[in-house]
Amino acid sequence: MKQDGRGGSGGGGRLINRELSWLEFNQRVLEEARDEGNPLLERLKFLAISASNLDEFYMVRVGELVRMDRHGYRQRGPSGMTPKQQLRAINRRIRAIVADQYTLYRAELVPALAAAGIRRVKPAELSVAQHEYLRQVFENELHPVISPMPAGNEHRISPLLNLRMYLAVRLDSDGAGGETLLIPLVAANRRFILLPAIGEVQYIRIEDVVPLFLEQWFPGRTVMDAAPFRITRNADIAVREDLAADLLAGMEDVLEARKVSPCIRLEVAGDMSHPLQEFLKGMLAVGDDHVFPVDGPLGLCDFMTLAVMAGFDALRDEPWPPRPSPDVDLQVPLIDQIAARDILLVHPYESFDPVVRFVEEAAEDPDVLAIKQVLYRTSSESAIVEALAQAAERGKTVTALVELKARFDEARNMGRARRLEQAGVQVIYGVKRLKTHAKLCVVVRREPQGIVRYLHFGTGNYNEATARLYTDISLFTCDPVLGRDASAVFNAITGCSEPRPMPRLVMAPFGLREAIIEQIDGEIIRSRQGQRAMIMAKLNALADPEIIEKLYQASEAGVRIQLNVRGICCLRAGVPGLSDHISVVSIVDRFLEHARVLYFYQGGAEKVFITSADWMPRNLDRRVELLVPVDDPACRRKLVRMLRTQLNDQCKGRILQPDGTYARPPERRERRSQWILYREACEAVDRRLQTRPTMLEPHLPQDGASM
Amino acid sequence: MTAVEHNMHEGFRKGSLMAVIDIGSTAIRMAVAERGEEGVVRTLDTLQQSVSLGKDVFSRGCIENATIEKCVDALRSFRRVLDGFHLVDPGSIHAVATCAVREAANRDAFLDRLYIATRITVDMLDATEVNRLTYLAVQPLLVKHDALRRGRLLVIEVGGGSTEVIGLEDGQVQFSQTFDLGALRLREAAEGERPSARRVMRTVENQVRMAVSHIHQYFHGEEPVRVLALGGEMRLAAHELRPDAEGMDIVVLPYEEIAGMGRRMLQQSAEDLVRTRHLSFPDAEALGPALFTCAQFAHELGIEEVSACGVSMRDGLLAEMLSSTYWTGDFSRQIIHSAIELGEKYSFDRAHALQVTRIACRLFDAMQDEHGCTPRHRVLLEVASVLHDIGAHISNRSHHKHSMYLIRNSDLFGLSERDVELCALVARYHRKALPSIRHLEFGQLTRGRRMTTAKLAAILRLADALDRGHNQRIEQYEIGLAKGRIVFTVNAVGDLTLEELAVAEKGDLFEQIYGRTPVLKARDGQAGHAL
Repeated sequence: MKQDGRGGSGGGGRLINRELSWLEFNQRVLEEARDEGNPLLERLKFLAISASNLDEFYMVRVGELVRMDRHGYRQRGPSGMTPKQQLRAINRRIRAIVADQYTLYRAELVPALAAAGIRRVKPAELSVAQHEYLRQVFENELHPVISPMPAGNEHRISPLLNLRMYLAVRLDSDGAGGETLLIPLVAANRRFILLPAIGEVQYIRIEDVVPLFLEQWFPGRTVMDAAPFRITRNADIAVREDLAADLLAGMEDVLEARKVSPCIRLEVAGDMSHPLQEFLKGMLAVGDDHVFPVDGPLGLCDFMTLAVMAGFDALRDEPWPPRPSPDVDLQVPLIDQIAARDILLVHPYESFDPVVRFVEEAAEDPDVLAIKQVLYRTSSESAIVEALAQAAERGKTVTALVELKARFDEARNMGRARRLEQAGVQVIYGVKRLKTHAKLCVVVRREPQGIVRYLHFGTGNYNEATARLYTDISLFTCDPVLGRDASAVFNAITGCSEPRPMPRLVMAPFGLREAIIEQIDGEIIRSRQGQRAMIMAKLNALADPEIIEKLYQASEAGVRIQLNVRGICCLRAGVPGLSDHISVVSIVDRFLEHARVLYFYQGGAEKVFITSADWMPRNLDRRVELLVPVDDPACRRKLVRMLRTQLNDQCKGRILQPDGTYARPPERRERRSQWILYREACEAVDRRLQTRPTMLEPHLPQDGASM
Repeated sequence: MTAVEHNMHEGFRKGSLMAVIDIGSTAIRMAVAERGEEGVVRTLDTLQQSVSLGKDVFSRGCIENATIEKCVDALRSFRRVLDGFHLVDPGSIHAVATCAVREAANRDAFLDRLYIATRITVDMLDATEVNRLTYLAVQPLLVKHDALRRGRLLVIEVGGGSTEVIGLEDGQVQFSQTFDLGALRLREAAEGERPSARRVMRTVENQVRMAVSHIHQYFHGEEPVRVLALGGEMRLAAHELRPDAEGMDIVVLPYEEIAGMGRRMLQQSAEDLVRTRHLSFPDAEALGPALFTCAQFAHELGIEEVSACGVSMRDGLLAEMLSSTYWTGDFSRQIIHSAIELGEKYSFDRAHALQVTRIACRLFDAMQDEHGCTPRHRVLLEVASVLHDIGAHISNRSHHKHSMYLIRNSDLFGLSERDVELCALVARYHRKALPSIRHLEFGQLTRGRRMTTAKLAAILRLADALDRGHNQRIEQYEIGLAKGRIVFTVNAVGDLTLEELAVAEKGDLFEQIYGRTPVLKARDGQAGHAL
């Protein structure tokens, strides 16, 4: 669906520009906000997500391009555009998306919310009682914590905070032009203030409240002008690992540096006066390209708090709580079940609890010698982190790799690292020059017949909170060869050994791309010999030029290639003579598609992998990632079924067009893959409950357990 | 006591963990393993960290400080991995160092530093021990593959500092040899940090030609029919040249293909190999020379195909730790076989030597509870018994001393210098003077080894007495232990006077050590003589 002719990819080369492709993805997120089939607060949530996505994109991607452009880089990227050309194209596209966001907000969501009983009150509409209520709020809660500060050269004032809102105020003064002050609205710590009202929720925005009481700070002076603005800083600063002797300290420096890095976007209220706008531009050294006047509230991402506020469940999706997997018996220790057979879980349809339990049980198991785990991002109150700490306190050898370089989670990860270290966990702060993105946990256990390693491989983070929202795969196994390989991975990333050849696992950056190319080559050869050849892949992003060229080659050789790529996809699909046999679907639905699964037909042998790596240069060259074979027939069937269900999604799936835009398939609401997968998970567990033996199971005393 | 000896008595139970560490010329490597089903070694982890020991030693003669600290770091990180297995018993960790360390002027300081920093004792292996371990490593392959046991087989491992060669015929070890021909040394020999590929190949060709002329001699001018090449480089070659053979323990490759790959690797810079093949730098530097050297051996020997396999000395170390008898039956047979070969060389009285050996073994077993020696010592006693008289080849006068000298200076397969020393002394004391602390060689031994020598020599002396006539008359006998005596009950063989006198003369040491007077008794009521 082209957005008024504004979508597309930029250029007609063999590759789609990755930034523009990402913006297309964000447009698809925004489409969910526009979709009247979605409940109202879900629509508001998607709008907030599209805004916060855009914030991050600006900080990181635009940040990098701005830096390159300022340093005079003229090199063209894989899509054939220089940084300057890309910035221009991105700028156009972003302005179109922002216009869409605010049109949607004003024309559809605000009236619909009001009709549903969630009404924004403008200052002029306040009742006397409400005004008096706000005065109290201001005097008790806002005035004590907010201090206006003089505006001026950033070096002379305390730096403005990234992605926070300020009120710029111009007062009359004796000299010409007046005096400008900045009022940090962030200190209020709340964007929306609920008002006393009957029969509905009424709220007022903080930037509407503060101007009502300016005279409290500036008694006797005339406010000439007052309008909110919000800045975005360049976050494209990485720690210089070669210079930082202590990565923890180096990382703190980065966080400090980010606080004062150049401003690359200035969002201002649409009605801000020209002189005030000019003043801010001068103060922050921002050019016109990077100024975004918006016709509505700044920081749409803040609306997430409204979207998730208590009550109004009728305006939300009915909940799909994760179901217990029929493949896991909660009565039996997980390790015994893994010893019996491999277990594969598809989250969040199937609960993440077994993963947490796996670590918790290992922490308590007297026969467990060691636990080794990579923590990339975990939730703030993480049961897994707690279990690891307890395991260490019980005398087990616990190694945790905490990736300090997980972007925007750095601060949280540093705190976690210290907690673990205090408990006696051997903490490793990632690998020099590489981000550790692989998700794995190894439990080493002494059993009568020898050492057994129990493994968990995942496509998602060890984060109990996001595991309810992201679709991910978990694989539990105690295959001895995989166990040895997993141990080799740990020995490599903890610096105990150089990477060793591994029979089963493949680790980036040591040959993961080559392994994928080898698999694709295998299909090409089979296809040329007249055999059936097919590839299915589910990824978050596809941007690696080498793999894309190989896929084009495979398409040309007649290999049927079906891709499910949620976000960036630089591959052009269905272009005659280039990619006739390649189709790409992208699914944006209530759960964030995050699992990465690969399938190669292999002449009927059907090779299936799960992986932590997207097909992007950064994943394959600059990260520690894993490619994990799934060989258990039942686990493999489960994955293949999931892949096929998703490729056929005709409700939330969007098909990549040869011109780089995405189009809806002829809509069939019943072919909504996430719903199908959830229903199947429910049915599977129901079936299991029905087939459960009717015997009652008494709790036996302790020694009964060993019978 | 070495780690191995420490565990000899119990052996490794199923499921027990062990680790071997090998400080080589290009890398420090560790394997963690456990005893699996049916005594099979199950490797749990293999680790490797590159170090430039070989580069330091072969060019400057000693190990640089930076390298020493790198080694300390490597061992410390290995320690962490061992901690993860709760593997802390020093008896379960066997660390060895090979030629680069052996040749380093500062090797003692180096080994002390490692011990102080990591509490890991590192044993220096001499060349013959490396040979023995290499043999142990390939032994399971010999058992599994009939073809390797037929005819003459040359086992080759090209290392950083040396090339190990073992010659076998019909599965029996004929000789073993270590050549100063290694991937790293080649750079020195070819003069220069980065010699051209052509220069390296010329050097290899010359050196291999010389080595092969030695090999011809050892095989008595006959050509070996098969080459079995070991090591990581061969595993890489097999993987690259025969990707479908993944998982096979032996891959047969035409030598020309190996030579071709070696040439290609030599022509690429190490930096390229590091980048494209994800190798460590020292591995990348060693790959081309090692492959080319190996292929050149086959070429010079006129053999078309090389059997490549990835096993290494570390597998031998593991096998050795694992085996509760220290030396497997087969390996012991190989050692005895090589001792007999040596005896033949000195025209020994084969029948007498083997008779004495048989009696000595029976005595050893009968006295097991009293001497408490290990099965390994039994093998050393066998070797000493086989060779006790070879000194007679030089002169009958003081031939026991000549025997000692000849044994000490021989290349006995499978035995370390310490083992050979023990055999030589046991043989020396098979007659004449009793062991005395005033004897230079004996006096230098530790108390424990002096005791062992005396215990074994006492047995050998008595066994030799029982074949005093060199006629193997005493064939059927029983050994009984009575209070203060050891009684030989011999089936009637006529007059036993000669043996009785001999036992009286040579039972002195036995009596002194074991407190038992040897008594010879004829069965069927024949009179015995208390001696």
